[in-house]
Amino acid sequence: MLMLPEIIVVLTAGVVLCLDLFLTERSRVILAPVTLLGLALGFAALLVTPQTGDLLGGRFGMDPIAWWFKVIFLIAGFVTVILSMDLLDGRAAHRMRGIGFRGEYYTILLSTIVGMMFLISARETITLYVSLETATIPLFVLTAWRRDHVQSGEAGLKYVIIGALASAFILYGLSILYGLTGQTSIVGMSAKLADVPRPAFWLAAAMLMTGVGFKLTIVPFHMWAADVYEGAPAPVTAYLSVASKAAGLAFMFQVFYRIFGSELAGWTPLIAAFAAVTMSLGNLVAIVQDNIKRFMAFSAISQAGYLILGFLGPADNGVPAMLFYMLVYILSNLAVFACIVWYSNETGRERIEEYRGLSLTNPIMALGMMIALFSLAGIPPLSGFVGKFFLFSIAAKAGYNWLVAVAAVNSTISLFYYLRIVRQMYIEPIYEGAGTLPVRYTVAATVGLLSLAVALMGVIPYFYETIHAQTITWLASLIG
Amino acid sequence: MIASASYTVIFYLLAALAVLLSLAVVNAWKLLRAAIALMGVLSMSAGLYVMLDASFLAGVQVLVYVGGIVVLIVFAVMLTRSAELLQDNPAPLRKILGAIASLAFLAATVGVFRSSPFLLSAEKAPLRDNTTLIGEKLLDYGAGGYVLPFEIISLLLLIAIIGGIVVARKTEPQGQPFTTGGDEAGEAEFRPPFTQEEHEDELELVEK
Amino acid sequence: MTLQLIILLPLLGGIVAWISERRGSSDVRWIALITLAADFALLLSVWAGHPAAAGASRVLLDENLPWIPQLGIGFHLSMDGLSLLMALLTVFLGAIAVLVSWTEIRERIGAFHFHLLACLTGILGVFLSADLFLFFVFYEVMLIPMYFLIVFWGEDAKGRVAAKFVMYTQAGGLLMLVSILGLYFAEGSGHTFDYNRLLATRAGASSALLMLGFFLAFGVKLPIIPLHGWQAETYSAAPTAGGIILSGLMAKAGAYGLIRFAIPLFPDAAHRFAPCAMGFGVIAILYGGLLAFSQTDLKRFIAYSSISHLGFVVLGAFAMNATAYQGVVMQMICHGLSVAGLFILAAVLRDNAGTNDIERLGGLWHSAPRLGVTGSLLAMATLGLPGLGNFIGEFLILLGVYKVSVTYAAIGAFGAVASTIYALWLVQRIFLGPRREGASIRDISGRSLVAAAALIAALLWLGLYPQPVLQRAEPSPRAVMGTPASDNSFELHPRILARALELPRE
Repeated sequence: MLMLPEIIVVLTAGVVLCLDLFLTERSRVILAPVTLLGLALGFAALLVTPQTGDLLGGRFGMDPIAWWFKVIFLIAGFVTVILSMDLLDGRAAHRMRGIGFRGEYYTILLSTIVGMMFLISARETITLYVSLETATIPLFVLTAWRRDHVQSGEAGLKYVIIGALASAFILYGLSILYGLTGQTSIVGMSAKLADVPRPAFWLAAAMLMTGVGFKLTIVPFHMWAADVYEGAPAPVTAYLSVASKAAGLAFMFQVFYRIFGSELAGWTPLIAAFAAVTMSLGNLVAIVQDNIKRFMAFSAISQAGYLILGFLGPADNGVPAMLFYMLVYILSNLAVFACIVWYSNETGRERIEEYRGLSLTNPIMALGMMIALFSLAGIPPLSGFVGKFFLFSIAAKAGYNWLVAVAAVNSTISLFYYLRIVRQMYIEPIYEGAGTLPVRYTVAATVGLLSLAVALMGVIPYFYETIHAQTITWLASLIG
Repeated sequence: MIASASYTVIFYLLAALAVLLSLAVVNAWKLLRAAIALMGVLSMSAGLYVMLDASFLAGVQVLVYVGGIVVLIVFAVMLTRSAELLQDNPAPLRKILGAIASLAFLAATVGVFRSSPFLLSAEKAPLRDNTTLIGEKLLDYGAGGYVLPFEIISLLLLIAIIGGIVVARKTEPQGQPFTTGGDEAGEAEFRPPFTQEEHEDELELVEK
Repeated sequence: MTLQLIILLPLLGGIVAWISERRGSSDVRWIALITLAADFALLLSVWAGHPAAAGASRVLLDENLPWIPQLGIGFHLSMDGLSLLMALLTVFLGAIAVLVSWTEIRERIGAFHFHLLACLTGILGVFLSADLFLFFVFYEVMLIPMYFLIVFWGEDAKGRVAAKFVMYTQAGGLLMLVSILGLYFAEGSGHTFDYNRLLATRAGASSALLMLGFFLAFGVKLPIIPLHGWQAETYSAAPTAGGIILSGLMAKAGAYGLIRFAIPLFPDAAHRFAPCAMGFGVIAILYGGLLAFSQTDLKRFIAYSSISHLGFVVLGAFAMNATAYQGVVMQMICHGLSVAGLFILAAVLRDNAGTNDIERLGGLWHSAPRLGVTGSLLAMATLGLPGLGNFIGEFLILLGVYKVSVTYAAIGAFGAVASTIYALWLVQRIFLGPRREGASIRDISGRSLVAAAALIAALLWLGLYPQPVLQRAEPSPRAVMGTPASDNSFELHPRILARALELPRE
């Protein structure tokens, strides 16, 4: 049963939606545990389903890379539900208007997870496009969820417009490809690509690149990120910053490795230029940010710049490096966001200098956040460093030494601004009369586990080795 | 010969009308006019579908878009009387840059389409049973079927409906003192935890 | 296992110390001290178990575990004479740092000792790694604990200063990372990070750039002159223990990197770059000395005199002959010891006299004779008085440089003279001279005295009987790049030593 994880998640969405009808507002707190249970079951199903094979006449495929992406999506979804629980069921929900509708919230969240899971398993372009939309459109709604807050609505509107624009680019690119090859299946398209007239092919490729650039927040398609991240409810921002980016990467994998295949070779200078601009701009703008969500938006932009370094090298090195980095990135970023969500729920504070004294009131949370931030900055021996190292080494191997130097300079800059938060938490004087803030055990456990994973994955080579080995088989299956 | 010529004439007529009406949609000052022009654009594309023998698609286009969505828009406009669009005057530089970008994109697209031969399917699409074929394909779970995207779309539609309802639903009155953003000066300050009574009051409010 | 144990022992001790914080502060300190003592004993057993033998393989211990074999990364630790000496110095100064913070650190004692010992773990790792990736990891690992040592237990504008320190070091470190990657993908490297295999790699045309990356990274740590912007502030903001680690050990990690990595990995480039690098060395010697003259704050004085003395290390390392090499090793060890002593002096003065401002001190000899003797001896060591270890180091370096370039040797000797002047001036200002009001202070006593005495004893031992250390520090052939074997087997002949001792010093 290859599709079991997806089916379980869809069913959970249905169950949550129906349960919501029969519950009073007070007893709706059980919706989050139900959602978590569904996701956990989906994860368990993922563990037992075979890692290769296809369904529906080859329209739905499973392979080790898809498996890892699904793991990433489920982890991101799971943590997001835990964080949303802190917002929707916690004290903060009673202070804020318009944050209710828990049943609908979890249903929509589950459906975007499903969309992403189908995205990486899609084997023909219509499914690919439709799952991309299923992954994206619910996010518009989630972004605009806080209706007491004008910024949230504005963010939702901006996201709708930009998202529609990106979809239009992707759709245009895909339809040109269909027109050129007469195929909707990815394999068929890829096989006929060599005979396709070049100008039209370049146009289609450029369209697809642009569309995916919006999803991955590659400069110059990044301008929506800061406003949307700032306006969305904090757990949604967390989800956007990790899952949406992972979905963008999944889409890019589908397009680059499955459709374009070897046509990729001549593009590396372009990708290198995009990577350099993205990481530099994201970093430079992050320095001057004041709001922590905006700050994380620009940090995420620069991380995307590092990420696409992996496309510079051959797939047998690039794919495992990017996948490993994505895994590390979502764990680190979710740990940071867990702290941001919790702090904002408890105190309403979202500015960077308002984190002062956190190490004294809540040392464990501050420690977890610090480890995650240092991982994002790439400090050894945390996993962020190892991931970055793999990516840098791919760029170096491809002969882009200047790019590695740019990336190294950017890493230094990023350390500077991540240290800003650490300094606030550890050095600046505490607020007068501030006491220890209550932490839900779910949030505390999440932060603890995530930061532990972030610390250990850098030292234990198991994950990278597994991904690497599986990539080799995956590539073999692509060719065969 | 005459049939072929008239085919070409009709095509260009429809295409030119679609472009003109699209411009009207974007440039209209009144929402109602924009909606009517949109209806025209959608009808023109339905006409193009007919010319391509895609009669099912043309029917759906007219039923769903022209008959459904645009009519809903018109209703909304008339019922809410918000027919006037906000006057928006972008800076001249932006206008010029926008125009240049659009023209460049148009030129690139036209250039590409003229220079590269598209793969036209050898045999024409079957004229009759278009609808049947689509129906079969949509529910076919074999190698050539599209049951997966069909199912995913149904999920997407459900979610879009739920999301639309939630976003559009009437909000509680403004004036709550506390938001997470702190978008006004005094709001970001730390407030002591709520007392139990207030907490209960709020629970009741929520339940109402 | 021994090497892993040597590296991990401080970290484990640090964790235990942190956990046992609840049981009382002296428990924490004793745990830290005992851990370091055990580590020291372990190192001594290695020393005893592997007598210094001439010729053959000089590697004493070598442990290689696979880590990420796909990329040619191994957990490869290796110890030769140089590593052993540096490791001993690390643990010794670590114990001194624990001793001097016994009374100074009163808050968050468990966390303090954890960070201190974690930092030592990083430094030990740097000295023992034989894999460039591993080396880089350890090189960065020591950074963050040091950041926290400054931030939590430091003084003044510590947040800004600590961030500056981290930024400088990180920028240098990443330049080195770029160079490491460049070397890794260089033709014929066989895609490995293993040090021994990379030694056989010639990076070709890009080797000059790659070497420059290493040189700049280590130059920040030392620091050399244009890269010293972080140093004085950091030294004065850091707690005493942090200052000892920074100047006594981290700067040595930079020096160690030069003679272990930058030069042997890129011998040709280093050879071409040598005149320039030696220029940096003499600039550091002279300019550092000049700046030391004009300081009124004792810790800043220590900072700039360190620049001056480590200038000798750069000078000697790029002279690239066996004499200078041994001198460099000697200078690294002795400077580590004497600078730690000076930091203790500064701490005692701050606690007992209430200030580190040289202008406000004076005539302390009468009320604090033991402090006076200690301070004078340390100053003598700093200025390179024969009979104390620093003299051997500087003398050997100058001797080695003389073989290569008379000019640089002459300028270096001039720097040595300058150091005599400022060190004596320091003693004169603090301990002699007119007594200021309130000049009767409590004398050095207790643990600080023990620590200072241990340091001075070590310096005396190194000055009078340096043979064991010099034997251990015999360079491996590659370290001094292709010089004929006869030159490598340089030994400090008693006659040369005697002549050196007679050499008139101003």
